[in-house]
Amino acid sequence: MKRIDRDNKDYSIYRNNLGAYLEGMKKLKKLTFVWPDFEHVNGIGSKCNLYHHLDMIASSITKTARLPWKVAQPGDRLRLDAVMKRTHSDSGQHVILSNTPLYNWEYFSNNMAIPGCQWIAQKYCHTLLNYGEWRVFILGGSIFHVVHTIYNKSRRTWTGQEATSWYTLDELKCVFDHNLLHRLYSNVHIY
Amino acid sequence: MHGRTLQLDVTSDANTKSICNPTEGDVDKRKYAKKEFCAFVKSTLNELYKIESRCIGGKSSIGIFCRMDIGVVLDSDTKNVSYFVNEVERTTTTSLWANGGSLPMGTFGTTLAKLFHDWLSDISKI
Repeated sequence: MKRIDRDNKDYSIYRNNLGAYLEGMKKLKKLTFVWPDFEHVNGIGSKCNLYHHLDMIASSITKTARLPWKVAQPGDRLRLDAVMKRTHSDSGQHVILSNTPLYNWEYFSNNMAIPGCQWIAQKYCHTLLNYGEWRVFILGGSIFHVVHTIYNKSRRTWTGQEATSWYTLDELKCVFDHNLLHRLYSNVHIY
Repeated sequence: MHGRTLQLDVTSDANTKSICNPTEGDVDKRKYAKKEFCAFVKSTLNELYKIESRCIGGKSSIGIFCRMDIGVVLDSDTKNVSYFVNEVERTTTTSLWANGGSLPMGTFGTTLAKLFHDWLSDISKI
């Protein structure tokens, strides 16, 4: 079987230097202050805990919807309407869409070098790809800057622009309806 | 888990309306919309900070810096649109999406330096 193993190249962390990295971080923590604490990021800040906390906040505080998710076990059936995300990663390298060649357990199993990492199956959200998302930079508890990013299908890359103005949620509903209607009408052929 | 979402697949083209930086509507509507967006972000952040701080028995790292990614989701039952947090990034490898040049890097760096200074002063007392 061909081994697909890209590990964590975005962080220059590989199977052969991971142990040294973790040991080094532990030693460094004894000598100086490290932010963010890597154990904090691995633990409470990791995706499973984070998603659980975000679900609680959405249901009890903001009263808003969330995307369903669950921890996937090796061999679980892979759904076509899901996206696989790996914990212990903030890289798009570990976000795998179902229409890509890497969407299989061979790849997922070979990309679990980080101790304690897991793959999460999350409901695929079409609006993220079609309408993008806002990247909100928060400093000291205050919103500092917002960039709206969207995937450019023709250029096959992400583009971003500063967000300075918003639609209300009620207006967004109308925007989605408008675009759906436009799509429906553009598919109508008059003979 | 919340299981109600609507599948929406819109092919992007020149006639597809963007949801960013609308140019129609009056100032009051735009102010209300911005307030709605910011209120969602702040409510979520404040609660997440409280939960994480409680879990670790200290101060969560998101009190200094984080990037919260916000998307919109449609409820298939109620047809309501709501914001949702897609990810929260907090490490030193967090992408700043600064290629567009809109991020005021100097102010960002200076503010972050001040926050780190305060954090160091605070943590040194322990």
